[in-house]
Amino acid sequence: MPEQTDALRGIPFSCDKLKFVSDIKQDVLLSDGVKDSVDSWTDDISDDEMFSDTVSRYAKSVRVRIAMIVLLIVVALFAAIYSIQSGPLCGDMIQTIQILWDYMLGQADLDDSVVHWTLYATPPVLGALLGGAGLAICGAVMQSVLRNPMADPYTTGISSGASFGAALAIASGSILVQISSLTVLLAFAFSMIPVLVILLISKMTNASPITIIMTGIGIMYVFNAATSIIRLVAGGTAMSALDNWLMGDVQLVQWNDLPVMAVITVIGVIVSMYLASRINVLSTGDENAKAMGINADKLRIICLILTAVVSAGIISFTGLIGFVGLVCPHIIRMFIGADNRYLIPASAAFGSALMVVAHLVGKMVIAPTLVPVGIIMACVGGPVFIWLVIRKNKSTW
Amino acid sequence: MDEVPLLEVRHLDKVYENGYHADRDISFSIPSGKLVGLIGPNGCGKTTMMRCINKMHMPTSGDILIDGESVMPKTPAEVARLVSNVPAEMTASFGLTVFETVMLGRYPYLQNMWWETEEDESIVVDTLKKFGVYHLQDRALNMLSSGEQQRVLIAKAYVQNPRLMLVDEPTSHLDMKYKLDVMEYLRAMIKQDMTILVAEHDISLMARYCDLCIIMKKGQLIAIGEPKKVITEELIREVYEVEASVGFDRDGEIYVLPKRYKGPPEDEVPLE
Repeated sequence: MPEQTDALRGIPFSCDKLKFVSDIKQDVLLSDGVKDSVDSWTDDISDDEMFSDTVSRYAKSVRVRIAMIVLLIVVALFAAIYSIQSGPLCGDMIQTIQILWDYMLGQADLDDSVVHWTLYATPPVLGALLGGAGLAICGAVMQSVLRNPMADPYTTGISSGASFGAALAIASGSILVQISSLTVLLAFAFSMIPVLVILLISKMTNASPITIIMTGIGIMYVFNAATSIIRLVAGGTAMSALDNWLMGDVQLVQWNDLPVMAVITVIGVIVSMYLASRINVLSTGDENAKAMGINADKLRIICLILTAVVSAGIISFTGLIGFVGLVCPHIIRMFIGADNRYLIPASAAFGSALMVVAHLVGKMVIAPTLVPVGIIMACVGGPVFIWLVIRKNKSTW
Repeated sequence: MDEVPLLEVRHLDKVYENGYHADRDISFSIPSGKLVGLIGPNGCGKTTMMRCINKMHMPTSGDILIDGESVMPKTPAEVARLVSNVPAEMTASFGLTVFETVMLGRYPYLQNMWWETEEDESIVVDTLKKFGVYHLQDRALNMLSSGEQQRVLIAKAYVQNPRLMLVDEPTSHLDMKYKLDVMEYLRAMIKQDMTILVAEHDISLMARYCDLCIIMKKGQLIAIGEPKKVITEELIREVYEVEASVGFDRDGEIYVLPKRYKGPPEDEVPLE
């Protein structure tokens, strides 16, 4: 050990006596390229062509993204109206809008048969609209926050918890009323169990996103097994009622379910959009987020609770619906990029549109039998999704 | 001492919850505008110390002062405006573009937590140009080569406009050319009144580019000073327990050539 350093152990050392080259031109360590580039560092670039080019391009890309979001919302609403009026004995689109407007104002003539059938056809469509939006933002937020392309309400165990709750309710005798409030209540309560387990584990072990997903998958298997046991024991009518729920269909949604779904979805969209820029930073890693002054663990927990409440709230009413939450954010990312400030609203709009269209197709494809939305989406969406992944995978994740 | 040192670490101690004592009573100070190399074997507490400096971890005891002010009472956002960080590994995030990634560095300055201003945009464009990644701005970060990624990450830390930048093993996956490239950019940044603390295993590279070297072993500060004075064969033997020859090339540049691992010395007193 050199003497001068030994003496330094443990005592504050100051190096202000040392002299260094401060003129960059004299710095022999820098190559000419870097010197030249550093020379231009102090140049004012605000009237630079490159600068205005980039700024205008960025502004344009923002406008394109916002236009896409608006377009998706319009498509979703149009599809919803079309879907309502395509029901039996309904009027045309203008008439449908008029009837819905009157109904909201409480002026609808409920004795009129067109009004009656229109209002009868409406709840499932609105359920699809809200459910698609809610599930899609859950997927988008979970994927970014857990930094895992596989994250959605399924892989975090929330869906399985809800299934178990619903199975319990259905088997214990609420078969008579097909989708009673007990089913919804129990589904919601049990979907909170995976969330609590995940929160507990992340408090105990300082869990990484991978641990959270692994825990979720473990919980999923346990609940799926428990649901199967109930299904076996219950048998008969309860079994078919349960199968109906597990297939997942917006047809189960009633008028008085809609306010709850609407509140949950709107809160989900607003809160996740408010957190979007933070989620962006978190999606680049915990270390990065902490260095930016974000409490990564806290933000992740907030986001997980939010997505759990939203997805559980929706699944409880509609039954198990997969695919939307997992796939919508991926498809949107391919087109408008990974910035959550645009990804979240775009996914919500796209999820809505997808669910409504799937429901519409389900009504028409082998009418009068209704094919559940989940089945339609998986049949058509799966291959489309695979095709998109193969085509674009190099630049997405 | 007239000038307030940019960074002053006073009796820093960090014990993890599992009882691992990562940093033991570290004290030093560095003046403004220097490139400072942090050298030591794996697990010697370099990364822990850097994480304590930007308050990612709370030190068990001791104090960190930046520009003479303790960072302990500051909020995370305030610290983020003083200290930026280039982590050793960047988690691949679903295809954020280079432009968006660098823009994230402006997060601590975003006024309304949502929209970046024209000023933020101009800083980002300017920085992309400075670091020679302007032409890559629309590419997804995870599709770039390691060297380009490292430049982008440094650019991201640069737009945070910090007083102190912490860089953790920036050249570990890079070839010779990019190693030099990264070090030159770090060196160019200190001319902009920025101080950089860089942890790195390549001692020759550190000795060549750094103004100061800090040598650590088992959580303790072993030495601090000008590389040519500090880095000696004895020091390498004590810190790394390897035989190395330290020499000077024709231009008078120092280099370190590891020769053989001889195992821990018999008479070593454990640093407990």
